[in-house]
Parts: sequence; structure tokens; C-alpha cells
Amino acid sequence: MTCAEFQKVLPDVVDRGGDAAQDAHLRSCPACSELLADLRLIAQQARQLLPTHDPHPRVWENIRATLEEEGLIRSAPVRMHHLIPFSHAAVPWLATAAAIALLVFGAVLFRRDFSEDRLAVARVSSSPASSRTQELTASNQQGGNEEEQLIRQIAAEHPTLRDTYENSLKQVDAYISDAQRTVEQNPYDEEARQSLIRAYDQKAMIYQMGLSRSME
Amino acid sequence: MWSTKIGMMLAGAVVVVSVTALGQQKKEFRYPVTNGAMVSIVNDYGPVSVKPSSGGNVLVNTSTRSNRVEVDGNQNGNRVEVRTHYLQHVGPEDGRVDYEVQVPPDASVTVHSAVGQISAERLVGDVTLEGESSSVQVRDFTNAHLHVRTVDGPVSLTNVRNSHVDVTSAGGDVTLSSVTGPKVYVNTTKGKIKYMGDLAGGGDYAFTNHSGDIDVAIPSTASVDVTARSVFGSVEDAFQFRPNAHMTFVPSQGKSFAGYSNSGGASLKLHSFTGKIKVHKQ
Repeated sequence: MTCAEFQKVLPDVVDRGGDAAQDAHLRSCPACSELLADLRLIAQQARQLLPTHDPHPRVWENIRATLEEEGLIRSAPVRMHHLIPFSHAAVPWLATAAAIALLVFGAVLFRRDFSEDRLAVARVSSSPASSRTQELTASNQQGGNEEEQLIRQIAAEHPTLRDTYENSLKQVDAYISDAQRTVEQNPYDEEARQSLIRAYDQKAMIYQMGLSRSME
Repeated sequence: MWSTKIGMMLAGAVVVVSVTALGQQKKEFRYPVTNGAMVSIVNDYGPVSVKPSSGGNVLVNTSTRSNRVEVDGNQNGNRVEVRTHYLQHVGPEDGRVDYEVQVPPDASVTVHSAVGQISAERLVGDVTLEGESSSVQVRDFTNAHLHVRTVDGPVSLTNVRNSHVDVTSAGGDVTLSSVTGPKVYVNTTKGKIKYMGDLAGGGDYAFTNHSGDIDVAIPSTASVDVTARSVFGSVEDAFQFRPNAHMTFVPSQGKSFAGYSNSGGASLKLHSFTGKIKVHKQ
């Protein structure tokens, strides 16, 4: 089972646990295992945040009136709480399910943006012959191509500024690299994160000035 | 040296052109403005100096060295732009244009340069000075918002009081003398940062870089709460601050320290990766 296949069934695994194939994948994939643990924690915390009593019927009335005003519902005036199963005991469970579904959905979307990088890290770190440098090199290559393009553009219009930009970009890249490494080693260090932001500010400044220059 | 002068009136602006026997063309632009004027100067090669004017005018005097460049001025309402226009590819010598600019003290001023020196003094408005290798010198500002950006040009601020100051330079050294304000931020990659002053007013000061040294000299009467950290370099507390009772991190001998002097009014944060940080008494 691949990570993509596993993440498709992730909400079910959060609620009911996994089957043999899913469990086997979890044992071999630290990224998916960590993701599942985080989502289960979120779901558990969400249950504790929910109110233990029903809202006043006036609350549902207000919601219904607002939805009708905005044209989102056109049904005949029906008390909102009648749409909900008569058993008031079911409301907390439905609310729980809705909250968990929203949180899981949001977490999956959030994680998906980083899952490729995390999977790459997992593969890299699990391979005895690979190193973190390879991953950084791969991601830096794309940035390096853009930098070369910027330097070429500036050199074409302002040859005297080429060395200035080229040298400064190298220095800033070293700054970013050091800052990234520090954040990885100390992910909860606020100062480390601020340093990374400042390093990127430097790069952003150089890019902005260079792009303005190249468009003159 | 003889010269010819031609005067023109253009929609309220006055432009006077004169040509010297040496081929230098001097232009004088005069634009009437009201409060809150915005002035933009773009000049790659050559010095730009900005000073306050006494009347409600923006006055720009330019001097070009060759006929490969010309200076264009434009006014739209309260917004004035004067820009060097290159007619051919030029270098720093034949593309050089000298600017002397006078603006109402509270004007919003933006200067873009490449290698020429930028200097500004006695302004109180929103001022942005940027240039790749330009050296930037600012003095005698009060209650201003100052933004300085260079790629490797050095920056020097002197007697900038009660101002918001934001300096970013990848490789230029930054020197601040008697600079105070609610916020004073300096961020360089490899430039050295040097501060001499009293940190008066209880503001927020942050000096950070990657590989340059940071040197801070303050009087013993300064009221400051300081944290200093150098990840791979070193820190030295030659001021001998009193240790804080409650710290957000554990100081490491030679790598970080935190402390305060007097009532700890101003906040001073110093951070470097490989540079040496030193705080000492003036």
C-alpha cells in the first residue's frame, strides 16, 4: 500500500482503526504513522471542546432566519431543531462527528501540502546511502535556476551590478541554509524561526530590487 | 565659463536648463506642492542628496556629464517624480548625474540608486532609500519613518531620533550613532552592525545578521533589557548586565546571555549565526 492510497482511507482509519494492510503500512511509514497520531489527538481534543448541553431553540430560530434572509434556504418556516433527530442525545454525537470531520478534512488538506516533502524526508532518512544534503540540493536547484535567470537578466541590462547580485545571493543562500538547519534542530525555538524569516527577508529584498532593476 | 539658459513653465512646474562650456547640462526643476507631497528620485549613477526646503516647493537640481543621458521630471498633483533616462547604454562615468533635491520636511521621499551615494538630512516624513551598492548616509532625522535597503552598500545613520528605522542590507556594514526610536531594526547577511547610543525612549531594537560582528556601545545610564545569541560565533557581555529573574531561554556561556540595566526600558535583541556579538560601555 502506498502513502497516497493510505491517505485516501485516513478518515476511516482515524475512526475505526486500520485493517492488516493499513497496519502494515503504518509500521513501515513513519510519516503516515505520525500523521495518524496527530489526527487522532485532534479528534480526541475536539470531543472535549464540545458543549455538553443543547443550545436554546432560539439559537436555531436565529440561524434559520439568517439563512432565509440570505436566500440559502427557501423551505417553509420549520423550526431548525425539528430537522435534527428528536433524540437530543444524538445532537452531541452529530456535532462531534461534524467537528471531527471538519478537523480531519482540514488536517488532511494541510498535511497533503507537506506530505510529499515529509515522504521524501522519510525515504531519504531511511536510506542508509542518502543524506539530508541531497534533499536540500534538489530543492535548492530550482531556486538556483531562478537566481541564475535573475543574474543573467541584470547582467544584460547592468553589467556592473552582476557581481553585486551574484555574491550577495550566495551569501544569503548560506544564511538561509544555516537558519533552516537551526530550525530543524530546534523546531520550538522562536528565535530560530525568526532567523529563518529574516534570512528569507534578505533574499526577498534582493529579488525585489533585482526584478525592479531588470524591468527598467 | 559661459552658459546658456532656457526657462520653461510646464503646468506649474518650472524647469531651467543651462549648458556649460564643458558640456555639462544642468537642469533645475521646481514643483509647487502641498502638505503630504510624494517625491521619487531614480538615478543609477551619481550622488543624490536630499535636504529640506523652506517653501512649499520641491526643488531638484541635476547635473549630467554626457549627452547620453537626460533627466525627466513629472508632476501629478502632489506626486513628483524625477528620473534619469539613459538614451544609450552607459557606464558609471558617462551615465553619472548629480542630484541635489530639496523637499518639504514632511514629504514622503523615495530614492532609488545603483552605485551613487545617497544622503538625506533633517527630514521628518516617510523616507525610503535604496540602492545596490550605494552608500547611504542619513543624519538629523526626527519622528520619521526611515527604510533603507542596499545589497552591499554601507549604511550610516547619525542622530536619528524617535523614529521608526528599518535597515536591510545583504552585505553592507551598518553604523548607527545616536539612533533612537520606538522601533529600530537592522538586518544584514554579512554586514557588520555597529551601534553607539543610549537607546533612549524605551523602544524596540533588534540587530541581526548571519556572519558579521555586532558591536553595541551604550552608556552605563542606559535602561535596557538585552538578549544576545550567536549560534556558531561568540557573545561577550562587557557591560555586565544584571541577570533577568525570568528568562525565555537558558543562557550558554560564550554563546548567549540575557540581562538588564537600570529599569530595562528599551528592548535590545542581538542575534548572529557566526558573528561575534559584543556589548560594552561607551
